[in-house]
Amino acid sequence: MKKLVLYLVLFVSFFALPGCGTLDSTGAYQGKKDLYAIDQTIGTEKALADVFVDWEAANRQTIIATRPEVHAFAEKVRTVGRQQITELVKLRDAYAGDPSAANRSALDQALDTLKALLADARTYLVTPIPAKP
Amino acid sequence: MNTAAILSLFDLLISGAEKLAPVVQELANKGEITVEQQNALLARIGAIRDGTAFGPGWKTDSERA
Repeated sequence: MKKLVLYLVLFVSFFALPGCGTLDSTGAYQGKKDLYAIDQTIGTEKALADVFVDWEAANRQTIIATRPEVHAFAEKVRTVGRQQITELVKLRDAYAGDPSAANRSALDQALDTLKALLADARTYLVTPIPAKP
Repeated sequence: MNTAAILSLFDLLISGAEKLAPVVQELANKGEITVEQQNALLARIGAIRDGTAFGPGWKTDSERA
């Protein structure tokens, strides 16, 4: 089972890489591949956060009883992580409107902060929940 | 690991695969990223912006009380 979860994490991590295709220039991104790659990264990190909070919610009672620190961390993802994701989209919008180096730097910094937070989610997902005594 | 947790992990695997399906489809097509694929990604970002992307799993203890 641990391997299955590990495969999922590897799966998520693999697809966190930017896409390899070229953009249809008539699409919503108007050929702006960097913005598309940014949105892919945001979407993938959000998907990982979704998987983590949904898993924790589905096993809440067991997790509270056996791994309270995981529950506490899930609550942190639901509050701090959600704020970070929302802020990330604001910074993404700012960069889309003004693709300056300063805006890109702020966006990259916010992405790094969110990834650092979700690194712990990856760790918790691959740590089995102990069986009830 | 108890049975409920194991079943939940299978749900998690399926859920994760469903959420990442658009990305998988896009990467499978290493040529042009279509208008539809671009619209789908932009819609996901829009859902985060307006808050609709945060489902029941995002409710905190106090919100659930």
